[in-house]
Parts: sequence; structure tokens; C-alpha cells
Amino acid sequence: MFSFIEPAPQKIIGEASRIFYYHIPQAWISVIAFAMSMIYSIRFLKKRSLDEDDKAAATAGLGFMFCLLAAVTGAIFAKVTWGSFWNWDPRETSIFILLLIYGAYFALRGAIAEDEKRAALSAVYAIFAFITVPFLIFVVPRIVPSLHPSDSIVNEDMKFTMGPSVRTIFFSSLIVFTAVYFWLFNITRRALKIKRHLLNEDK
Amino acid sequence: MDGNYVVMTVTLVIWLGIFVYLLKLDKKVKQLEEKIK
Repeated sequence: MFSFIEPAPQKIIGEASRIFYYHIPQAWISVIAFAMSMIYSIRFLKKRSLDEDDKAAATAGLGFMFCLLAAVTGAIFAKVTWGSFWNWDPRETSIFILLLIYGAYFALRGAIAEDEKRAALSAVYAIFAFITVPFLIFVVPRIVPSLHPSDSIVNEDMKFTMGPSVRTIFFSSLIVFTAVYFWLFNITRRALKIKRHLLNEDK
Repeated sequence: MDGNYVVMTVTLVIWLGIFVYLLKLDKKVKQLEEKIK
């Protein structure tokens, strides 16, 4: 709520700067969710428990949803500041590739009927998919010239570029988004567990 | 500034809707968990 009232609009881009309180936490959550998907995939390969596979799929789904939201809010920001929704800027291209990579993860899951086989193949895929995440989100946009702001949070000396009120609202937003993600993950994980239990009863 | 309040109200309604929906969903999942125990 305070993101709309308290901080003064940014000098150059004006009120559009407020999207920053939503866009960055969404991108942050998608990275966390994809990382969790990789962790649960490794755990599946170690334990061979389908519960771990359910958790990996649940968090990858949430990561995809937050990644899509980050792309949409980013496109709105691009329309206001750069004049069009999509410019194939390195950052936009890398998020598009990331969405394709995780879209393929769900296509893979949907294509295999056998539980064990689906879990094993998608676990290996999720591990390789996550290797691309730091490269696409942190490396590519920094080595290729981009219009995307790169010093919204910290500058090259790793010092905060935000004022105290902006920092407070930004980190509050980050905490709320993270809490919502964990809540969603918890509900999805439990629902998938019930589904698996009912499917096993039917067999 | 008026436009900001409109966007803020819409955002608040969306957040409230998400919160109530998740609360209801959590409750439903809890009931199902107790049922299959």
C-alpha cells in the first residue's frame, strides 16, 4: 500500500517506477522456486521418493507463474519507459528463453504416463534447467548492452542505491511475496500428496 | 495522485482476494488431510 503513497516518484520515469516493488520480488521468487525445484529433484534422485518429485513439480509451477508475472510487469514498465511492450532487449529475451525452458519441463512431464520414469527424467531435466537460470538472469544481461536498469538495488560497489523509505517498502514487498510463495508451495505440496494417496487407493 | 489511489485500491482488492482464497484453500486441504488419515 505504501508503495503507492510514500516514496516520491522517480525523477526520470515518474510513477512507473513504483512497479519496481512488484517486478523485482516476482523475479526473485521465480529464481528461488526454480532453485528449490532443482534441490527437490536431486533429493528425488537420491531417495527415489515420489513425494520429492511432487514437491519439485509444485515449486517449478510456482516459479513459472512468478516468472510470467515478472515478464508481464516488465513489459508494462517497458511500454511506459521504452515505448513498446516487447523490444527483444537481452533481459526480455533471457526471460523468454527461461519461460520456454520451464514450459518444456511441463511438456516433458505431461508426455510420460509412468510415474517413476516421469519423475526420473524430469528430475534430471530440472537440474540442467536450473544451471541456465543464473546464466540467463545474472550473466547475459550484464555482458550484452541492455536498456534494463542494472543498479536499482545495489551499485557496482555493492552499496544500496535506494533511499531509506524505498528500501523499507522494497524489502517489505520482498518478504510478503516470499511468504505468499511458501504458503502457495505448502498448499500445492499437500494437495499433491492427497492426490497421490487417493490414486494409490484406487489402484 | 488520484490515479495512484485507484491503482492502490485495485491492488488491495486483488491482494485481499488472493489472501481469502488461499485461506479457504488451506482450510479445505486440511479437512481432506484429516479425512484420509
